[in-house]
Amino acid sequence: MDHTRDNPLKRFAAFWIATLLIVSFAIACVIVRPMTHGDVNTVYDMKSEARLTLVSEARAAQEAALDTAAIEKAITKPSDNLHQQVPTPGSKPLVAPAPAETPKEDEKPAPVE
Amino acid sequence: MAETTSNADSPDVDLRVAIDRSLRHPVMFFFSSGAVWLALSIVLGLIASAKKHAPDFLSGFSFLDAGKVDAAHMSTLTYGWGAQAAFGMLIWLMARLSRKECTASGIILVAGHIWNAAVAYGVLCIMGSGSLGPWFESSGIAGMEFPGGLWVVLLVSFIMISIWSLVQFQVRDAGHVYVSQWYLLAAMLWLPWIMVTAWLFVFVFDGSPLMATGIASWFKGTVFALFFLPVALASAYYLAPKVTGRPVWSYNIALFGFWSLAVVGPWVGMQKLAGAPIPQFLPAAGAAAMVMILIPALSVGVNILRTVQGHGKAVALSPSMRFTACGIVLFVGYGFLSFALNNNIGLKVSQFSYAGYGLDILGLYGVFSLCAFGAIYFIVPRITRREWLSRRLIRWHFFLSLYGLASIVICAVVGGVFQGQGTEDLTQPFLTGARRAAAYGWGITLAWGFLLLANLFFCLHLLLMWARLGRRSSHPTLLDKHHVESPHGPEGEVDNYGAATV
Repeated sequence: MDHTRDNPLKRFAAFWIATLLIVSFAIACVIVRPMTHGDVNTVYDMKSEARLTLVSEARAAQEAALDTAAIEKAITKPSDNLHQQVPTPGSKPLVAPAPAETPKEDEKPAPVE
Repeated sequence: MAETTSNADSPDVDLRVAIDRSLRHPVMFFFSSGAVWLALSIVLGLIASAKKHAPDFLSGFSFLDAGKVDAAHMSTLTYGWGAQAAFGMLIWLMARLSRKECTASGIILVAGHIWNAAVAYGVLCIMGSGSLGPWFESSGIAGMEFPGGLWVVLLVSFIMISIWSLVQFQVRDAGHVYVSQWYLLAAMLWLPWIMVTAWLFVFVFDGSPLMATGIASWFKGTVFALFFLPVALASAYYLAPKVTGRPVWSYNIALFGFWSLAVVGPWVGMQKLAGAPIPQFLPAAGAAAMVMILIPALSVGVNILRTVQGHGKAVALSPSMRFTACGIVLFVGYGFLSFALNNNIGLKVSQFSYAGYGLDILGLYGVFSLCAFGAIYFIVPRITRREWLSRRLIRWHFFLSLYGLASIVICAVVGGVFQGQGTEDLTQPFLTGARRAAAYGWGITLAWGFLLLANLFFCLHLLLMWARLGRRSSHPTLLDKHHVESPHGPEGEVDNYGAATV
């Protein structure tokens, strides 16, 4: 065994270097993450802003085009007519019961001689 | 790298014996528990495959739903078998190549038990999702189905297992760094990198769920390219010169193969999300990396096969070299198939079909597992100081594995292409694709049956070796009943066996 290369101190140092190397992968991810996450959000927000503007414009245009008085009037007139057409009791003809069925020829009692 | 066994001096043999003895328990634990997980994984694979063409099969059991059993099959294959076989190979190869005994086998063994418990809990969570209660819920993310917190346990276990090998490498005697050590060192650092990154971005940081799926897909791809593949190649670069007694054919090509894998490997995985609403360069880069995996495949394939060229007898007779050479040939095949299935034409038919599954199985079982079997057949006799009991069991394991694997890959790729064409044909109903692949699905199920049989033989053989019931012989087990001369050298001069009685 070459004691200049293999001794407890060397082993101890190698152990901690290896551990730190592995931990450094996690640290690198934590450092990188806000950059990637931030970019994604910015693009998303930019798109969202444009979309929201479009939606609010469309809603405003619809609001402006909406004549509520005309709709109210248009709804009131037929509903008034419908109210006037409510039938009163006895105004409709009653349905008569069906006439009693006449017995068929072969079911009639035989004639008395 | 080649070490001749016949003229090894006594201190050298003593050192190898001491290294093997120091790692005996953890390595055998990893190999044996891995073999049990492999058998379980194949049973789950068989059920998952049967459910694809016969959906009513075992439909009365909610824990065997198609989605659950498929995820459990791939998770047990990857983390139950693959990871543990890789750990055993990694710690033994690094100790041998650094020529340092392991001083922390107890900690490694404890970490191995923690790993096994975590995988078992993860599989319970996958299969018991929705029925076993809130403590048993899968993450539901394809490729990382284990619950989020479990990945931390797996990562800490892995660090507890592998950090001693990093220390051994650091304090090795001055001299040459072997090709195998490059790959082992890279695998030991790449796996924590991808695990930490994937876990943080999928489970901890608040981000888009779609990107979380993409990152999980990247993780699944890179676990193979940056962990399983390097460990398998390290084993091949160790065994080929060791068994044949020749140095590696070309160190320049080995260097090129290593760096090409290091450049290409980190990009694979996201091709599975082609067409998804994520930045399109990500799946495109993934697909390009999968196409370019052919470069390291050809480099390694040429180098290893030229190293063993002219030693056909050694390759045929030595179980370790037979499995390893086969794994390397399949790695070249994997490179070509990956090229064919991941270009812009192939990806359309492979992305949502059996074909992608066939490629995954070729990588994990064909390339990695065959190299791992080769390493196990080499390592286990050295650490148990017993020889394999039965040549016949090894031969059956080899042929059933090979034919089973070939059947799975051929059925999956051919059936998958037909299935993909059916899915792409918009004039046909969607079910046309599934109907076209149904017959091939039967073939895959049958082939898993072959693999189950092969691995029951392997598992039984390995457990008998673990129980130290192997043959008491100083002669290696060769796959020829009537051999006259061993490729490992004359009787009684095999590697560390000279000091077996010390």
